[in-house]
Amino acid sequence: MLGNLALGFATATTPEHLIFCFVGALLGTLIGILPGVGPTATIAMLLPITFTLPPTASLIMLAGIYYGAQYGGSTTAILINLPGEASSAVTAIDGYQMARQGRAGPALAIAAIGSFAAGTIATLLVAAFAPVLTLVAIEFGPAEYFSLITVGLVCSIALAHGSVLRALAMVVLGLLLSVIGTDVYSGLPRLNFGLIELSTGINVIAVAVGIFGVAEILRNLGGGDERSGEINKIGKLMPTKHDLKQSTAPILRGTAIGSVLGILPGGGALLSSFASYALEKRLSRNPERFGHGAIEAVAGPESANNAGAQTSFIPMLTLGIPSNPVMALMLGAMLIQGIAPGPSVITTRPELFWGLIASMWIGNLMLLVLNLPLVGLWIRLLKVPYEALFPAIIIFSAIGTYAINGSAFDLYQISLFGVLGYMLYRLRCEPAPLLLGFVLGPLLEENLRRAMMMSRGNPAIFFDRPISLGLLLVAVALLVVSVLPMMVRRRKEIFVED
Amino acid sequence: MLGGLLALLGLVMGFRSLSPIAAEAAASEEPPLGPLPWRAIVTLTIAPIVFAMTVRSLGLALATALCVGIVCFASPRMTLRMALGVIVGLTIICVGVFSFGLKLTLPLLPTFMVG
Repeated sequence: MLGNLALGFATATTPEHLIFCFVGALLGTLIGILPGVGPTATIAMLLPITFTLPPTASLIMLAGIYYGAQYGGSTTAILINLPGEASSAVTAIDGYQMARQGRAGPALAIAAIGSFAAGTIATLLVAAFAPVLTLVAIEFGPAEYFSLITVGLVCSIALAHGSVLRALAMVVLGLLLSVIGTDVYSGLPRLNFGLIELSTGINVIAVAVGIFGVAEILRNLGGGDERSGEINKIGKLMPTKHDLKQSTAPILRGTAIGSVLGILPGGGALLSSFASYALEKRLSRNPERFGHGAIEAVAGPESANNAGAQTSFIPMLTLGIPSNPVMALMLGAMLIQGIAPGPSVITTRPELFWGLIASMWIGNLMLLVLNLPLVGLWIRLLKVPYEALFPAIIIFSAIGTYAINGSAFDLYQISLFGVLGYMLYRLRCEPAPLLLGFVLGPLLEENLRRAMMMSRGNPAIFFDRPISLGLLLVAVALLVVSVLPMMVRRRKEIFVED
Repeated sequence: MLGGLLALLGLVMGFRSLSPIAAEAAASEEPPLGPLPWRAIVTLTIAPIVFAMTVRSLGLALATALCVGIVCFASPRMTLRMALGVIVGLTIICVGVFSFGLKLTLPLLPTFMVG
C-alpha cells in the first residue's frame, strides 16, 4: 500500500496535475458557494472540456470539483443560511445559528477542519480497501456483475428521498432510455423511431446537462426565492480549545458514517450528513442545544459529507459501478477517455488510480488553505446575481456539448431533457436514480446477456452461483424493507430533521 | 430475451401509472409549487436549438451572442443593461475559452464574412 501511495503522490505532484487539482478544487468551491449551481450540473457542463486533457488530469480535476463543492457549500450555509449545496442543508441549521451569535469564524473553521480530517481518513480508507475489493471483483463473472448492479440500483431506490415508487419508476425510465440505440450483439437498431441520430443512443452528457443543469435553472427561475442580503460577520476565525474538544468525537463519528454511506449507491454525501446530524443529536447529553448553534451539529455532518464524497469513489474505481450521479458522469468521462472502468483499472493504469487517490488528499489540503483565509473573498461572490449566472451555464453547456460530436441533435436532446427534468421535479421525482439507471443500463444488459449466453439461456445461473444469489437476496431484502411502513416513517424522520 | 426484458420494464411502468392515489396522498401534505415559469421554459428550450442551428453558418461568436440573448429573456428580473453586459461578457469569455484556449475547430466568424 505504501509503495502504491508513493506512486500516487509522485503522479499527483507533477506540476500539471497539481494545477488541475487546484483548478478543480477552486471551481468546486466556487460552485459550492454559488447557490443554484450544483456539482452534477457543473461536471456535466465541464465534461466536454476535459476531453481535451489527458485522462489522469481530467479525472483529478473532476474529482476536485466534486469534493470542492462539498467544502464550499458549507460556507454559504453558515454565513447566510443558504446551503449552496444540498448536502450542506444540515450544516445550515446550527451553523447559521452560530453565525448569528457572532461565532461564524469558529463554525467555518470547524467545518473546514472536520472536512479535512474526514477527507484524510477517507482517502486512507479508499487506498486500503480499493485493492482488496478489486481482488474480489476480478473473480466476478457476468452473473455476479448483473446481481451487483441490481443491488446498486435497488440501493439507489431505497435511499432516494421521497416516494420509493417514484424512485423505482425513475430507475426504470433510465434503463429504458439506455436501451435506445444499436443492439450490442446483433447490431440492429432498436427503439430509434427511424432516426439515424439515435443509432448511437442518447448522449449521456445531454441527459445530465438537461436534467441537472437546465432543469435546475428552470427550478430557480420558477421558485422566485429571494436571497437574503444579510451576511453575517465572520469574526474571530480560530475555534477555542473547548470547541475543538467538543468537535473531535463528532468529526470521527461523522467520518465513519460518511465513509460507509458513501460506498452505498444513492447514499453519498447527502444522506451521510443527515444521518450524522441525527446521530449527534441522539448522543448529545443536552440535545436541546441542537438548532441553536451547537458546534457538534456543524462538525459531524460536515465531516460526514466530505467522507461520503471521498468513499463514493470506491465502487466506481474498483467495480466500475457509480454510486451517485457525479460518479456516473466520472464513469462516462473515463469511458470517453478510452479507459474501461472496472477492476482492471488498478492494474493496467496504476498511475491513474493512485494518482487520483493521492490528489484527493492534496486537494483537501489545498481546500483548507484556500477556504479559511480567503473566506472573505468567496463571500463577495454571493453578490453575483443569478441573472448573470444562468446564461453562462446554458451557453457553456451548449458549446461544450456541441464540441464533442459537432452534432446539433445532441443540443436538441438537452432541450428535451431540460423540460423532462423540470417536469419530473414538478412531479417530485428525483433525477438521480434516472441517471444511474441510464448509465448502468448498458452494463446491466451486457452482463445479463453474457450470463445468459454462458448458461445457454437458463436463468438459473443467477441463483446457482452463491455470490450472485446472495447479492440478489440483498436486493430483494432492501426493496422489501424500504416499502415497509415502519421504514417509510423512519425515512421521513431522517429527511425531515429540522 | 430482450423483448422479455422490455415487457417487464413496461409492466413496472404500467404498475406505476396505476397508483396515482397513493402519490396524491403523499403530495397533499407537501407545499404547492407555484405557477409554471412558462417564459423560462420556452426560452431555455429554444436557446440550445437556435445555437445548434446557427453555429455552423453564423460562427461561434455570433451564435453565442444570439443564444445568450434569447436566454436573457427567461428571467423577469433581467434589465436591458444587464442583458447587454451578460451578452458581451459571455461572448468574449466563450470565444476566449473555447476558440483560443481549447482550440476547438468551430468556425469563429460567419461564413459569409470569411468568404
